[in-house]
Amino acid sequence: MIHYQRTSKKPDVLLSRNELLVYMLCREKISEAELVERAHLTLDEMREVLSELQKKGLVEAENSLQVNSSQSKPKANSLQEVKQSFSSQQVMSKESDVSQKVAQLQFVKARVASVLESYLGKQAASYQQELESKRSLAEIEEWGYKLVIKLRLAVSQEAAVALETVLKFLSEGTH
Amino acid sequence: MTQIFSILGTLLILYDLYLGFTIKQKAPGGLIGKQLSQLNLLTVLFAVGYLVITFLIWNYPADTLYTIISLLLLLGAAFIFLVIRLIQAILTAIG
Repeated sequence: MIHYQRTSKKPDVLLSRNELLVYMLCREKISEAELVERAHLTLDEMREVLSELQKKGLVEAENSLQVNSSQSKPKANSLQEVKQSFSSQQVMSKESDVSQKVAQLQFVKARVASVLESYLGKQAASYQQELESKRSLAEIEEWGYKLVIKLRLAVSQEAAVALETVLKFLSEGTH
Repeated sequence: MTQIFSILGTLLILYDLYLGFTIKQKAPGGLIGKQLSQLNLLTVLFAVGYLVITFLIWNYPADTLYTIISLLLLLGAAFIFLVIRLIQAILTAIG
């Protein structure tokens, strides 16, 4: 089975939502099937995204039959080994969940920041600083809706509409 | 009395003008920003009108009609002052 992992190259171009998500998931060695499951994408979409990332040199494929076989068939000779294997899998699963949340948070921050910058220009810098201090999606959502009111009343109605659209998309995605 | 009301009205409308343009910097766009631009434009026109009227009726003999007009002008300036203070409070509330 083919496994994917990030290369040492850092992204120097703007990645799409799916590309960013997959790139974040490839922080550790991960199979195509796991990527499909965690990113909630179809296999075709995933292959397309992976090929794009490979073209950009951000992700590399590795044909690791040995890794697969050792992962899928752990040598559970004793009950102790089985327990250890199970707990390590749980830890890995938790780590991947955390990394997925971090990826999602980064994606949302990048999206909101780009909307603000495109509509407000240099004026967006102060809002971007506030945005960076947010630690969860819920915090961003709450702050975002307050900012929508402020923008609509005092700064720019167009920016408010754009930001509100992003926030609606975010709340639909998370709920 | 007419002259006092006229001067107070003119001074108040000039202060309104100053406040209006100060607040405009805090609200460059959006709903409030647009409405404030119109309000400031009208306040400029009113201020010119107040100055002209004060100048015209300065040497007129005391008359009840002029006193009422100058009192209305003063109350008009006070009304604009209250509107601008309301906008200022809203801007402070939304940060």
